Amino acid sequence: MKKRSILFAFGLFLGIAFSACSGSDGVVPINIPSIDDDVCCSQDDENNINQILAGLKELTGLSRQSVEGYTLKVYARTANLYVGYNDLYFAVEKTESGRHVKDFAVTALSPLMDMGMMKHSTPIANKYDQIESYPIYHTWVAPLMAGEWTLPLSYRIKDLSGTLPGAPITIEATPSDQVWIKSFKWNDQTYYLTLASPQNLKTGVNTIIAYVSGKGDDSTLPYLPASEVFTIDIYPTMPDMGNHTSPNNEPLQPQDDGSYQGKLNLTMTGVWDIHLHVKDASGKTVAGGEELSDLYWTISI
Amino acid sequence: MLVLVSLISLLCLQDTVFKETAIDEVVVSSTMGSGKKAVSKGRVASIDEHLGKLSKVEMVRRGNYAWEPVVNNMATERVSTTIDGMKIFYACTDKMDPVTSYVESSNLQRISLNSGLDGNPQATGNIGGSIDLKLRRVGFDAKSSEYNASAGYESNGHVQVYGADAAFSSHRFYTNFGVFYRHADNYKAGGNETVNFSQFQKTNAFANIGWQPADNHIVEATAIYDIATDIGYPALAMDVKRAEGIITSLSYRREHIQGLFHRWETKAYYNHITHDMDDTKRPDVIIHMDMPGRSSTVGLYSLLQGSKGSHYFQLNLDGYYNTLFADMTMYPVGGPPMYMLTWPDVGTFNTGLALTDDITLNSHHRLRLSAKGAWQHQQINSDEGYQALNIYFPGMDRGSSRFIGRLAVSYAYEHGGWAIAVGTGYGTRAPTVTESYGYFLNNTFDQYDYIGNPYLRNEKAIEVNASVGFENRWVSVKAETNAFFFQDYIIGRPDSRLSPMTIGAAGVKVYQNLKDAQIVNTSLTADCRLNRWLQLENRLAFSYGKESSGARLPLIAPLSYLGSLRFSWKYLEAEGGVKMASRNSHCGTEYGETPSAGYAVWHLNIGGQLRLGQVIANLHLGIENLFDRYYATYSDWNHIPQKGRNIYVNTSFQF
Repeated sequence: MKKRSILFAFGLFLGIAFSACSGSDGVVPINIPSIDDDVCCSQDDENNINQILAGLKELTGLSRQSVEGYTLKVYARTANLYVGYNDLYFAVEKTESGRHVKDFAVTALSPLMDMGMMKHSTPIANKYDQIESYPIYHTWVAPLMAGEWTLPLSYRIKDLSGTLPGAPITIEATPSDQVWIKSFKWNDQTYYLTLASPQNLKTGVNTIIAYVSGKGDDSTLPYLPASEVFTIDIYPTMPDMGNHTSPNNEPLQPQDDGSYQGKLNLTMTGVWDIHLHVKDASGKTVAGGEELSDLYWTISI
Repeated sequence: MLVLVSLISLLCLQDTVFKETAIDEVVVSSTMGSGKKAVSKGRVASIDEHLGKLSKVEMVRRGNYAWEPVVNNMATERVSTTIDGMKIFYACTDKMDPVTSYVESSNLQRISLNSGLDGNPQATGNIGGSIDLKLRRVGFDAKSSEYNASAGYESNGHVQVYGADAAFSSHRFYTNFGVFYRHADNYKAGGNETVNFSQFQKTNAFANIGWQPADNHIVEATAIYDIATDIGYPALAMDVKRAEGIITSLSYRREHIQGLFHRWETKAYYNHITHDMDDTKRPDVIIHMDMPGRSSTVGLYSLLQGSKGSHYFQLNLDGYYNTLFADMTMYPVGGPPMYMLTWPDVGTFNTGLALTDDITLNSHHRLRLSAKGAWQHQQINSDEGYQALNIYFPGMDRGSSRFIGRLAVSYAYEHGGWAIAVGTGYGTRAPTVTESYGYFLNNTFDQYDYIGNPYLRNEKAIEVNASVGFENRWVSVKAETNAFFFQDYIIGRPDSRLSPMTIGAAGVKVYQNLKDAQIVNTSLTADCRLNRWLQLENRLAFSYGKESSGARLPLIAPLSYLGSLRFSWKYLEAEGGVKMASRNSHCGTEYGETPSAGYAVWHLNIGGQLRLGQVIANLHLGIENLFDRYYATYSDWNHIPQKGRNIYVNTSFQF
């Protein structure tokens, strides 16, 4: 608790520090002239931003969207998105100079799959977090199935705001028969269990993050993190090794930020099934079951 | 003869086996007596066969190659094995390659064994005993040139052995070098039953060089290259594609120094072992896997030897750094490979100081003190391996340092044919890399997967031993016993909470310190000289091992008897004998051992030496397992049967 409040104070301090130096809002007594006063920060920061973005890939089909002299760029870990959890990153450049813009926001990402007969959305983070205090925002989306999707979103760049429909993009199947998203039904509602960052798992003790999203009455609206509180026991096994399992796994427990966090122990590389046992606040089974339940993610490390 | 610390030596050069006391060890290298007991197979006998001749040594057999020596009923973990004082560590997580498998008989002059805690100066962790393989160096001022050639054949398994070496010597320079080749097909057990996957072949080359720029300043270098390929292990689920050892050393020696110390030797060495397992030839492999292992050791020792009055003392400082790496990649059909480190690239630095003092109180009484203290630091160098172990031992340290030591005192009395000796010692050993950091090592003996335990304490042991002997012209009788009382005895215990990795495994065992354990060994030998040509030899041995819960320890020898009638006349020798063992009904059932049946097997052999001018020719002929008995000893892994009837013939020429 103490740690968290220190972090909060630190964040607050950073916020103040940056809003003080940006000079883009509030009453500014003296306007220091610059070449382009709406771009971000110093050359050093610009370099750092570029360095972060260099570790990512521009998302094919959605990467560059123009808005009156600005370019909204969308990045992911790979150039294509997969079924299941995907990180998304947003940055805005001044089209002319290519320099990053500090004052912008992305909201209301609303993925949609139009299957003709029916349309549906999919779980999203519904949160847009800044990466280290740089003008890069992170969110995630977890498409339910492969195929053509649109990812419309709302934006605000300085005083400009609006909606970008986004060109249709193709979501690919999860690599090598993995399964990163699973659903269960409870009280006539459908919930989705999304394993975050499944490609970061490695041999050893992994702190894993997962999300439980509820499908609302209107399935074309994004599925938001569920308000109900669950505990999810995990039981990893290796199907190729006679269901060899690992000890000392810790259940996924709800966190303040809406995610679930637990410990997943992987004794070696290969294919793992992570069996899930979802329990409600009173400990009653909601879905799955003990040990080899048929509710499981499949990952490969 | 001082028998307390019985050091049994084997003189390969002369094809003889004889016993020496530890005290005599330093002068043994120049001893080339005649009239010693002949090793029935002569020069072409394997290292394993030589080791098996040592009393107190049993061999654990997983196939027809690379047997594991067990001393005082203690295996590799509790035995130090060195090659001319050089540390060397095996590279196979399944103990398929005891370090004695990386040398060949032609490399060695003799094998010396120190029983119990009174180890050789370079030994550490030697609770059961220490084996030192002494290399064969021709030395200065020997015959200016000498050539040896040998060949052997065995009917069972079509074993072929060929060797050739040459030696040149002068006052300032010497060199000897040679090659050795061995090939065996599958052997047949008693009743003509073929034991599949028991083949092997091995090639060995060695060279020694000595240079004496000034008298008593000696520089010596050794290189051994040993490669065995296509080795079958019928007792295990896998074979070995390649086991390769490179052993090198460079030393400087001063002899005949004036003053307190008369001899000083410093040796630097390096050895590397490459071991690759192979399951591609086995039928019914569920998942194909690669399991390579690597061991590298670099080290240095410096030994001072001196005497003053009744004291003869040795002071040795040594240090080595060893790395052990082993991993496993499994290839499931249609899935991505599965990978783990089974030895997480563990680096071990060990440095120690050893002291021995042999005190001749008077012609009847002798006292020997020996002590060694060593400091060891061990570190997991692989991040991935460390992360994996962290699952089982959250928050464990990546490294650990410990102090280990031993102290032994013995007293011997000799008078009028009687020899009485008593001794005691206390020693500790650090857990091995397998015991500390091994990761899912499947043991086919009890069908468990083993995980190391980084929190193990040092194992401690107190040894007491005693012997009484009487010898005259006609008889030689000796009763001998030693007992080891362990504390924090290290052994794998099942942990039912853990899930095995190997398909079909019974469960997972984690190495633990047991509160205590005891091992007691007793033997009675009685040799009788019937006349000038005939000698009757008898040896009866019995051992016992138990741990704190009352369970019997595994792999403890049952009651056994060796008897032989030996004939020798001039250059002709012949022997007929029997080896018997009772059923080991008190075996370590708690540890997955099942009883082996009793047996009696007979052998016959004859050998002779012929001198034809400059050429000395040796010829040996023999039959092992005369009545083609189907049997397995208690130390035959998973009861794989021993060889059935085997007729061998071999010959060697020296000129």
